[in-house]
Amino acid sequence: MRRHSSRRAAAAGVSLVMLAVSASAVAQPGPGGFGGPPQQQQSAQESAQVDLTGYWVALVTEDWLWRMVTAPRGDATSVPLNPAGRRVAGEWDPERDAASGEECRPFGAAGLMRMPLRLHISWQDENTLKIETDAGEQTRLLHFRGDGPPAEKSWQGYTTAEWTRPVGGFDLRALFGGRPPAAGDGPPKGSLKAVTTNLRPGYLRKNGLPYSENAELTEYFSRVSAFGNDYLTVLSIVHDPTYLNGDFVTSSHFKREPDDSNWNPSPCRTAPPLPREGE
Amino acid sequence: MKRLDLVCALALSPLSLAFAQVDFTGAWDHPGLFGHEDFNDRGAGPEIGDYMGLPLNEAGIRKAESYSGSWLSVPEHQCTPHPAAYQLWGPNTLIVNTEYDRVSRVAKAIRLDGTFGIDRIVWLDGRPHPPPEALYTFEGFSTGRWEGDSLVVETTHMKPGWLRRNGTPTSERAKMIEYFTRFDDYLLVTTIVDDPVYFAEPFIRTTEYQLTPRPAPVLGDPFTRNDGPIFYKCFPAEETTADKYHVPHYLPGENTLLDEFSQEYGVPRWAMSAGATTMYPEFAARIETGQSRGVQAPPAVVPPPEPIPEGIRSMHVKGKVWAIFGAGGNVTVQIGDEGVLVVDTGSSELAPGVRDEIRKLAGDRPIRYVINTHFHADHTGGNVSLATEPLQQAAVIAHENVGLRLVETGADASNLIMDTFYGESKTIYFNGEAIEVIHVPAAHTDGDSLVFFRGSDVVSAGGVISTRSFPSFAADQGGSVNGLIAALNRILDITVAETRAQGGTIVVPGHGRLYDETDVAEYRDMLTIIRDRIQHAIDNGDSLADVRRSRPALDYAGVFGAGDGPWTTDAFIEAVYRNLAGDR
Repeated sequence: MRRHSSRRAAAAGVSLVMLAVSASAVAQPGPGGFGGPPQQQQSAQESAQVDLTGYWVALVTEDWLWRMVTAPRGDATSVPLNPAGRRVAGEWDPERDAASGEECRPFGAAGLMRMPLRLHISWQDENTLKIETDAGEQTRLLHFRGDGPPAEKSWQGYTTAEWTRPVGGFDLRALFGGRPPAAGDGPPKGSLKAVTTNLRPGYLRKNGLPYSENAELTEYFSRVSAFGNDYLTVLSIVHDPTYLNGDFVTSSHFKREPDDSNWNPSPCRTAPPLPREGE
Repeated sequence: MKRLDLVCALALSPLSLAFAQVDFTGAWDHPGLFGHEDFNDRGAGPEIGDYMGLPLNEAGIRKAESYSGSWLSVPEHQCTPHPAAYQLWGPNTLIVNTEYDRVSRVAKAIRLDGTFGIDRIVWLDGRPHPPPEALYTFEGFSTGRWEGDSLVVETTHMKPGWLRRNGTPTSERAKMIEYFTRFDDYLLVTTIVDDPVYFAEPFIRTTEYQLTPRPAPVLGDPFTRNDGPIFYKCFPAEETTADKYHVPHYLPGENTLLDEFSQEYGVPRWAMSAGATTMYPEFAARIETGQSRGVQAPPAVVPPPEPIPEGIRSMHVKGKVWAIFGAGGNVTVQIGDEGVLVVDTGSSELAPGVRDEIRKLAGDRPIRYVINTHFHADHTGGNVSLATEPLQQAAVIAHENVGLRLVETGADASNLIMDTFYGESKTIYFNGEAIEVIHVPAAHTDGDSLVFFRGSDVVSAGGVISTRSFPSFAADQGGSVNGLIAALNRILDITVAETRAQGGTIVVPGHGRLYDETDVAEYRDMLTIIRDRIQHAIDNGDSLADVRRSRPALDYAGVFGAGDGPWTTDAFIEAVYRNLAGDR
């Protein structure tokens, strides 16, 4: 239906106001594009609104005292933990985690992007974007199409993804053959929305601030460029009625690296908190 | 064919840009009011010493470590709003409005009002950024353009500010690019600041907002939390019994708060001053294992000076006063029905161009008065040309030491009859306003004057201020560092900020861009702090070589320093040292 309305608008040369009204429809061409012959449905890679692939390094310019180093047990500064969350945070025991094979709790999806680490983003297949980390050696799969989550919960859960376009936006690329954007294409035109569920309980921060298996993570990935650098930004919203009073909203940023020369895989591990005065 | 039709329709449409625009209007709050990151930074305020995660170089670290929280008790700084590079990160409600051209109905500007102290306007109408001599503000000058679903805002002309409320600095050389991107009912603002003076690389920060429905505004009710602007004036108060000219700061190595922070949070001192390296993941291992070797803030650099337009050009300052740039020293011009008054005349070879520029501004009105702020040739060289009118020579007013120095140097200007004065000041009334010529002794030279246009609310500062170099003085011409500081304080006695520590009285310096009260205070602070550091070293018996090694101007050299030319950073340090040590 969307394809039909956009084609009709173009053919009739209707008023620009009408074009604006139908812009959201225009922004989402159907399988055949605009007026072209019927084609197979575009893959996620082909219809990409922004190129996220490459190596990225986290720049920890915010929350340094809670991200770069491990804060003391119970320090939940800025995080809207509810009483149950605070109780669990107060019981954090990294040695117990290690003994039970749960060292990767801070590297679960809801906390992963806040860790000091590097990302490698690539296409696993044309409808699955893969995010790997060096620290923690985690792999997230962002599914643009799929069969839904498996029965078993995991650190990275199950992520569904979709491209988002400007409100009232228009994807001109769809008019010119549908080539996916690539580095060097100029400004990004859209972003990626990802929703992750099916999570194994993990930590929002290294010091054991918990999220539960009921948590749902919503993320928006986008790219910006300034002063000769290329950045990836990730807005994250953690919804977890078990341990949070309200949604936990953070954003993280990464700088593009030219290659994998700084890629330094290391297993999940949590450094002990820095000794503070009186300890 | 249909595809082509649509492309053409969009390309030809003035509304096509609108397709790319996202609606940001409305009221936005940080999640949880203060946001879910860095509560300490955004709430009560960060600790002195929390400099990690910032791309500071050694100049930035030095500036931060010398910062004292008492800086905010200085009268000129009390009303300082959050600067542009910090304001959205800080605690605030952001209210976004769009202003439309009344005829074309095209969005002309986006207004960012907030509880951060000063509103911002992002111009969308393609206007250029102001020339380099224009006044700087805390919010800077912003222009916007659309890139896909983001509004990209570029900001220049920002006064010195901070990244955190603990003295981590940004300089007036900083430039900022922001991306405003809306994701459903969230607004993400990505702020990237590049500051060649204090940063080793650009700084990036991402700030989240949530759309917050507001009740309909109640017109005329200033207490309703609505979408209207908030009326708020701030005036300095006598907060302490300290000398009003006191500049609080810590001398190098004397900031005990740094050790306190280190002990309280367990962060080693070497990590606190490591600057840009602390942003990267590798630092986690270093700090855990205590690998401090080779970890230090990147070296400071003195960036090349900001390019300035060539040729003689003018700018309206305020009231009846204009400034002419590019003439050697700056020329200040007051224009009215009675004629023209000129403060300083630039270099002799550029005088014809200055005369032409004055004619452009004043037409055939004659130059009635020339006032010289001091005797240097780049300020008096045009005297003969400008003061010699066909029908009547302009009166040349200056402190008597200017006349004496001109004769001493055999300058052409010494051939003019001068109306000199030897007291504290001379007053005249011209073009409907009182004008005070105020002598400031032993400053840049022994004959300096400030010229205060009372009605226009403008001060011409002459040699006392050069915004492109360290303050200069010649001891053999009667100048001194303490006299310069006293002269700057004298200017601050005159100036009054309009609101939030900016605007109000405007100061035309002898060289460089326009200043307001806060700029003069920053300049005074800089000179006082460097003076204090060198005096402290002298008191400790340090030699000039010792002082040079300690680099007492390190944190200001990126703005005011020079490696070559007539007034290098080294020459400045030596002059201050010798002046304070009594060695001329």
